[in-house]
Formats: sequence, C-alpha cells, structure tokens
Amino acid sequence: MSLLSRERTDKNHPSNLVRRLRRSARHTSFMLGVLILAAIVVMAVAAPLIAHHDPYDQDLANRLSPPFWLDGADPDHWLGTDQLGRDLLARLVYGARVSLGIGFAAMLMSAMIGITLGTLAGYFGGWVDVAISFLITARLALPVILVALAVVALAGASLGIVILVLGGLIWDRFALVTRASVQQLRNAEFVTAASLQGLSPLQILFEEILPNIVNSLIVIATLEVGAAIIFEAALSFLGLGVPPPLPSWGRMVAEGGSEIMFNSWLITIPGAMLFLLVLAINLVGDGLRDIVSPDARN
Amino acid sequence: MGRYALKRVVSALLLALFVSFLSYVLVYAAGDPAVAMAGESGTAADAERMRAAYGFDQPIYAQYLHWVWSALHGNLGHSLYFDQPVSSILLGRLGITMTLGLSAIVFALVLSLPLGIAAARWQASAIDQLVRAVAVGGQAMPSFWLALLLVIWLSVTYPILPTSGSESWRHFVMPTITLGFFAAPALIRLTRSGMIQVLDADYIRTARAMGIPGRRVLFRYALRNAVIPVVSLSASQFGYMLAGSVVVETVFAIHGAGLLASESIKRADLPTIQALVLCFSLIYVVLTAAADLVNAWLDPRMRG
Repeated sequence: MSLLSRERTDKNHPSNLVRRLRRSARHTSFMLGVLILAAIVVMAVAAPLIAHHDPYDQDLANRLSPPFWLDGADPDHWLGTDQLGRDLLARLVYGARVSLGIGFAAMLMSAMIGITLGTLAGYFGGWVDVAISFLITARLALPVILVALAVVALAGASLGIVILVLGGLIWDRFALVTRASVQQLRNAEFVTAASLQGLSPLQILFEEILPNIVNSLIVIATLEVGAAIIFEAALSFLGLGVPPPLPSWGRMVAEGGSEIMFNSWLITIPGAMLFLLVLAINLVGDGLRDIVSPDARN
Repeated sequence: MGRYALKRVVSALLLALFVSFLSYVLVYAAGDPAVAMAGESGTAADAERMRAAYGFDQPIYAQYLHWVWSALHGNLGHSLYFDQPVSSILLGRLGITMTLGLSAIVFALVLSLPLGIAAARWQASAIDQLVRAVAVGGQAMPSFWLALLLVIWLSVTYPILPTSGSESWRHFVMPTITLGFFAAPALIRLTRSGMIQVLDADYIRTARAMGIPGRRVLFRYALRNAVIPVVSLSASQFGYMLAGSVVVETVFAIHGAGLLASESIKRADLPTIQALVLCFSLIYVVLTAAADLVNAWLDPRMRG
C-alpha cells in the first residue's frame, strides 16, 4: 500500500511522465501549437538551408516581384521580393531568429527580475512585501509601449537595448505569480519541517519552494516570450526596435505599408508569420497550464 | 467603507507621486538629456544652452521637485518643437484619445460580454470552442497588423472607410475595432470563467431548484455577480489601451495623444514625452482606484 501511494505522489516517476505525455498528445490545441512552433524554430535554425538568397542582398532590377500564387512570379524568389529587391523568404526565415531570440532573451531577463522580487515579497512579507507590491503596481501603471519607445529612442536602437528595455518592463506577471505562490507555500508543513531541520532560508527557497512553483513559472515564461515578441514587433513597426538592415517581422510590415494599395502581400505575409508564432506560443502556454495543473483551467 | 476608501485614495496618491518621479527620470535613459534635446546636429554649445534653459544642470531631485510643483499648478513645461506650453497641446490631444479609448472599450464590452456569457452557458459546446478560438487568436494578433488588414479590406478592396485622419466618426471605425479587439480577449476570458464559477454556486442552484426560469437566473442573478471582476479589468484594460493608442493612432494618423507621443519621441521633445508618460500613468492610477472603490461598494467582502 505504501509503495502504491508513493508511486502516486512521486512527480518524477516514469509512469507519471507517460501519463502526462499521453495527456499532452490528446490535447489538440497544445499539439497544434507545438507543431507550428517546432516548424518556426526549425526554420530559424536551418535558415541558410531554406533560403537560397542573402537576406541583405539588394537587387534593384528585381524589385517587388510577386509571390508564387500571383501572376508574374519569379520561380527564383518563391515569396517574391520587397521594394529593394531583397528576397522575402530569406528575410522571413532570418527574421524568425530575431523574433525568437529577442522573445527568449527578454523573457529570461524579466523572469530573473520578477521571480527575485516575487520571492522576496512572498517569503519575507511585512514591509518588504509592501514595498515590492508598490513597485509592481507602479510598473503596471507605466504605459509599456510608450516607455519602451522613449528609452530606445534616447539610448539608441540596438538589439541589446531592445532586450534590456523589454526585459526590464514585462516582469510584472512573474512577480505577481511568484509572490502569491511563495506566500502560499511559506506556511506549508514541509517548509516548516525543512526550517526545523535547520535549513537556511536560501536552501529552503531553492530546494523546497521553487521546485514546487516551477510548473506555473514555465507557463508564464511561455506566455511572456509571446508578449515580448509582439512588443518587439510593435517597436520595430514604429521604427524604434531592431535597427535596419536586420530583418524584423514588425519592421517588414511597416516597410510594406507604403505598398498597401498594390502589393499588400508585403504586409500580409510577415504579419501572418508574427501572428502564427505568437499564436503557437500561446497555445503551448495554455496547453501546458491544462496539462500540468488541470484544476487551474478557465 | 470610509476607512477602506481613505486607505485606497492615500495609496493612489503615493503611487501617483512615484510614477511622476519615474516619468521624470525616464529622460535620463539617454545619459544626458541636454545632448538628446540638442539633437544629432547640435553642437556642445547647443547642449549647454539646453542644459541651462531646462535646468538639467541642477541636481535631479531639485529638477524633479520643481517639475512636480509646476505640474501641480497645471504647468507641464514648454515644448521646444511647438514652442507652446505642453499642457495646452496635450488638452485637445487627450480628448481625442479618450474618445477613441471610450468607444473602443464599449466595442470590446459589447463583443466580450455576450461571447463570454454564451461560452459559459453552453460550456464545451461548439460555441464555447469558437469563443475560445476568438480569444486565443485575438491575443496573438499584433494590433498594427490587424489595423493594416482592416485598411486593406475596408479601404483598398472595398473602399468604404477613410484610411487616415480624425475629422469624422467614420475615421474612428477602424481604430475603434483595432483597439477594442486588443482589449477583448482578456475580457472574454474573464467573463467566461467568472460566469462558469457563478453558475456553479449554491445560490444559483437554489434559484434553479425553486423553478425560476433559466434566462432570468442567468441575467438577473448570475450576471450581476460575474460582472464585478469584469468592471475592474475594464478599468485596467482602458489604461493599457491608452498605451496601445500610440500604435493605433500612428497607423491611422489620428491626431490624439498617442500620435503625439510617437512623434515627440522621434523629435526628442522631452518635456512632451514626460508629460505624456505622466498623464497615461495617472489615468491608469485613477481608473484602477475608482474601479476598486466601485467594487468595494458593490461587494463588501472586497474591502480588505
């Protein structure tokens, strides 16, 4: 009997993992998200194999060549070319690297800030909690896009600045969730037991508390990657994100804006990639939430 | 209630003071705001002139105190670009943005409440699936892309709406849809989950068991309670939409505060940028405080 009950509670037991994998495979929207996301990641990693052109090569004799489904398409440029004659497919696949890279890096930075603040607030309570909660509310009051635009404009647009600014702005959800979970676990029996055994607060945090909230943190992390990607795209769309000529999907949409009357695929294609990527990431995040904690649905 | 209200107002005031400090020191992100204002073609002498004219040579706390004191008297500084007081430029611009924001939040609620209620009422049905798809899709939709898709569809393919400007109500249709769709997914999710929770409550089951017709239970008893969290979310969504107006107004060339923001940033018009960040943050602070007070009044349990 004791064997049986242990098997049930041990999270890392293989039978539990198998059950979770089965549950994931049955979760249609999660699988759809995983498939799209995997396709885009493969595209980003294998960019030179997919695109036969250099994303920066301009060919002014071959400007605005339409994609394959329109008349007059050039078989050499499968998705056509932009106003400067650059191959759209090449810019799209290399742009995937920019979006994924910025999204991931900004998420990591916001996770570090948010989890640290949330843990301090939840663990120590009292005036530490009051101060940090105040900081979180103040952050929520600041208009992200406006502040990010201003800082990028003043400090000078570069890949690093965009990551720093976004990472420094979108940590609120990490902080809120960590704070609430740590607060809840702070008085749990196993935490009290650990502190009676003489474990230091840091040991308790890393060995007892954080492993127990890692599931919800992974869900937040996924959703924040999506949020960071959208913010980067919006900044680049407004001309203050990743500096040219780096291919960013957001700026590609902006550059296509002047062609809206006649060559609207320059807007629809990069925008659709952006939409698909963020959609896939959100589907994976929502799916993970359902799979790791089915009771937290809705 | 009086005690809670006092506490909430005091915390809002402290928050307002803190965000005003953040709005002010934001310009130091450039390192030296005087150099930023002098512009790329500015000489060292230009920068020195800016430093003296805008008081950047004073210690930061003294500059901030001076700025906040003037702001409290309605003086938000002087815009270099317009050569006018920032407050007089801002007033008209904010009116346009608030009009856009209000129509967008109304659009978002008109879309979200019925969808959320229907999804909760017929949970796990085809309607529910569809509503969830709308919410998930809406969340992944970059607002600038949606804006341009609407232009392609409603101005280029079927030329029925004007693409840019803010002269008539027709200019506001596409911006309202774009901005409203930006706020809708969160509202749909919350209405749906709140409604599901309420429909499961004992007093609803009791009402049903007493033979009160389903429609009346849904609208008279359930909706009233499910809508409370939606009220406070609407307030914060409205705040986020003000930030979103920077993108949407730029796409549609609506002469509101959002367009002013993106233009001022490109012109390095620092006093205007500071004033805009301050206004947008303050509106958020006021709205969320008001929503909390309304909630506390509706539901005494919230007066924590």
